[in-house]
Amino acid sequence: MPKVSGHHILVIDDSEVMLARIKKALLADGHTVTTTTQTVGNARHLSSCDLVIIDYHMPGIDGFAVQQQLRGAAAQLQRVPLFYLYTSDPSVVPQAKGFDGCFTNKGDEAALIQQVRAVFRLSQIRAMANRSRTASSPPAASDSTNPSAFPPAAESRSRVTIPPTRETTRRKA
Amino acid sequence: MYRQLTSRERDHLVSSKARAANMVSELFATSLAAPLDFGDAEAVDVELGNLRTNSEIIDASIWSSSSNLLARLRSDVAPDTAVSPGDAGTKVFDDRVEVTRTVFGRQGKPLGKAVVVFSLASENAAFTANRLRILWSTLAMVAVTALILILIARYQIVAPLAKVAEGTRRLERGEPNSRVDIRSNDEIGQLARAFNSMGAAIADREQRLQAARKSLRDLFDHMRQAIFAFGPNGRIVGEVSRQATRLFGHQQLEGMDVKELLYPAATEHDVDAQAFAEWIRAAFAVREEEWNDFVSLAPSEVLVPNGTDESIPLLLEFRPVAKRGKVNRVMLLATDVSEQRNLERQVQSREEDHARQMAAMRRLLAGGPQVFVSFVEGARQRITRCLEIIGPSVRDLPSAEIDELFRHVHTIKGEAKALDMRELETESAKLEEELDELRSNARGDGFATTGSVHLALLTNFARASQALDRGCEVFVAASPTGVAALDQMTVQRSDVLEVLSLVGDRNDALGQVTARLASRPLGESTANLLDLVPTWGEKEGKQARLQVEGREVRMPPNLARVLGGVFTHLIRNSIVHGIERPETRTAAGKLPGGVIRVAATETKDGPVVVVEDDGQGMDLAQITERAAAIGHDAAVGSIQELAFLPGLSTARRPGDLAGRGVGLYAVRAELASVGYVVEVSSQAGEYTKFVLRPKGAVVEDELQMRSGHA
Repeated sequence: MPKVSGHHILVIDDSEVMLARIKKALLADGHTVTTTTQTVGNARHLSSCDLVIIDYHMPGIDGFAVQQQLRGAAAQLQRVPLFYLYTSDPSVVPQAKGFDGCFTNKGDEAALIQQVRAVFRLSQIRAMANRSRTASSPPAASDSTNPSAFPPAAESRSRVTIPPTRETTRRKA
Repeated sequence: MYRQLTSRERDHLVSSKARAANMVSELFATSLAAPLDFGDAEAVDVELGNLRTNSEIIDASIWSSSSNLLARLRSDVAPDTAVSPGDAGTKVFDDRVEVTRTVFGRQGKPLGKAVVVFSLASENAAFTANRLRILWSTLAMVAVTALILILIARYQIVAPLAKVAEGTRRLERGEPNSRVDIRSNDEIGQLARAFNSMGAAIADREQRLQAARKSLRDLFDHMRQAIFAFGPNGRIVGEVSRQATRLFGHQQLEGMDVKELLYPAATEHDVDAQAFAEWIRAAFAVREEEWNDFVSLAPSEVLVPNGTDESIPLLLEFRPVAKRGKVNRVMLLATDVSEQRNLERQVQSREEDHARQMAAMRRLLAGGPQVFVSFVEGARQRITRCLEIIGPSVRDLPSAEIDELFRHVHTIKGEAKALDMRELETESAKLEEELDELRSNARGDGFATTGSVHLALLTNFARASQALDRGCEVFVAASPTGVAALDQMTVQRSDVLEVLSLVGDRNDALGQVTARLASRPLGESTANLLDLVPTWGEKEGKQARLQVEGREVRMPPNLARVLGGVFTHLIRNSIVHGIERPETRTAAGKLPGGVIRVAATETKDGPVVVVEDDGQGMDLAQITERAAAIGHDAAVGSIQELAFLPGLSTARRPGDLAGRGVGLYAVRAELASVGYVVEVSSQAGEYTKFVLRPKGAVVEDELQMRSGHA
């Protein structure tokens, strides 16, 4: 079976070895992957990007700062990617610094694949919920006066619907 | 009623008294007629005195016709208190009866009136006594009546209703025989019959429901999946299969949160658990017809802790349970795929192990296969020698023989390690341990009996021999020349070629042996192409691999000399013109990767080689068109002939691999120089096949059959 193109994922990590392992796993799962050890100048990769995975501990700079830089650049784009932190540190609170979430169990590529799949599933579920809410509510009714069955997702701001994952497409087939 | 009874009783007493008073008064009035007629006052007093004997009479008076009181019974009271006479008659009062009678003289002349007052004291006393009796009697009668009525009511109404109520309670408790035995034809009987019918219907439905539940339960319990359902709050409801309680390690799953169950160790930031929680929330707002799309957003697999360090991989499947088109429960079927995953891991591990061994063998081959061949030969001789020493039965082994055994085994182990043959190395290590024990035993006496280790030694040497066989199989598989690799010896090629030139074209036995010595296995010509083909494919955006059959078939030295170039041309052509891109192949129902097959077989005239691919075939119309473009008339030869024309190429522009129009022309020329011809056949969309055969030889059916397109 030919691999159906998945999502475009940008991975930023200071370890080449780690990047190679992550890239191999993500490619095998059908994604297009861009990896870089650079902590600056990555805005050019964002235009077609669905997900940015950023390492927490990097020399001279942490993942939060990298994310802030890219978030500023991504604000100009029509399609804003998801930003996820990659760490094994349970004390990190990703949402506090503007991340959409975090991937845990760093070093376990199988776990990463499961988490990446979950992110895209979650994104689709929220997009669907938002569509459903919009369809069932008159335009004048605001969220605060007309609570939906689906609470608004944290990242439900101007994000385009992400196409189905390879997993989804395969199941449909 | 009581009033009526008492009033009647009193009336009866008073009436009797009044009748007696009338009679006495009548007699008294009659007895007064003579004394009054004669004016005999004394006689009157006597008559009054007679009345005194009657205790019932409390007063009496005699009046003249002019209503003057003539005499009175009671003299102790004032005369004016006497009852004055009225008309003759009887008057009844509460406490007395007054009877007035007219006293008639001779000729019926009224002489006066006599008034007699009778006391009703005794009647009143009797009446009072009777009234109390009547009261108690009435009360007793009322009580008895009430009791009888209660008993009747109990028998007729309450008891049947109680039976119905008891039947209802039995029905509530789910007792199967909750009939009510009432045979009357009244309303209660009708109610009981209706109840029994209803009870029977309920029992029947209950029975069918239980049977259905049991079937479902059996079905659940015999299924490999853990099955349960959960509601909009994410909590488990209803039936749970036995497998579910086993897998999740909870006897009571009902009411548990399904997210907690599937992601028990999830942290706040666990995106998998988060996605599942939101999926559950959305699942119950999805219409049934949208479910197929929506269910693809659910997790397909989770790892559930099993109480040890390991986790159970569960394959998840979600099914909607809908009511009136709306999902009100979701059924989860979770399959334990531990065994499957273990098997996959084992296969992967074996594949990796095999790949590692193959790589080791290839490295070995690159350095000269003779090393491995001599190792195999040496190891076999060592094993044979060891078995000779041990002997078929238990015996005493002198220290010298034990040392010899040890040396052989130690050498095999060291060489196996050097050649990366782990299985043989392991078996040798086991043998070393056993022999070490024997050596220790022999240290004092100079010998040791094989005794208990005899069988173990024989078994382990047999295993070592098998490990060596398997190592040879891997070596052969890795070798480009197949089994021919095991039949080699180191000779100088220049010597062989010199012998060949000395022998010349002799066709006798010496000539044949010399030609065989100089011949090269097909695998030598394809060895370097095995790795190149995938690389060439990638350059063209295609997936391709080379498959070689008959690697050991010997090629005459002159043919072997040109085969490398020939194969390069033909295989590059296949990659550029034949093999399609993965998406095209998939759309055509083929595997995404193309296969280029090189197969050789011996014939009486010499080896025949086939090079074919499973690509799109030759575009004959395009070849004809291009042939015309370079000035060749397609009508002159067959289309296959046109393919070999110099300068002909169907490529739009020359590439790294092909397209310059010299490939097939050069191939034919090269082969012709060594007495071989090349023929091409093709089927659009299926294959292109080149057959390389000695000039004049007929291609045998076997090769055609092996090509799969005969």
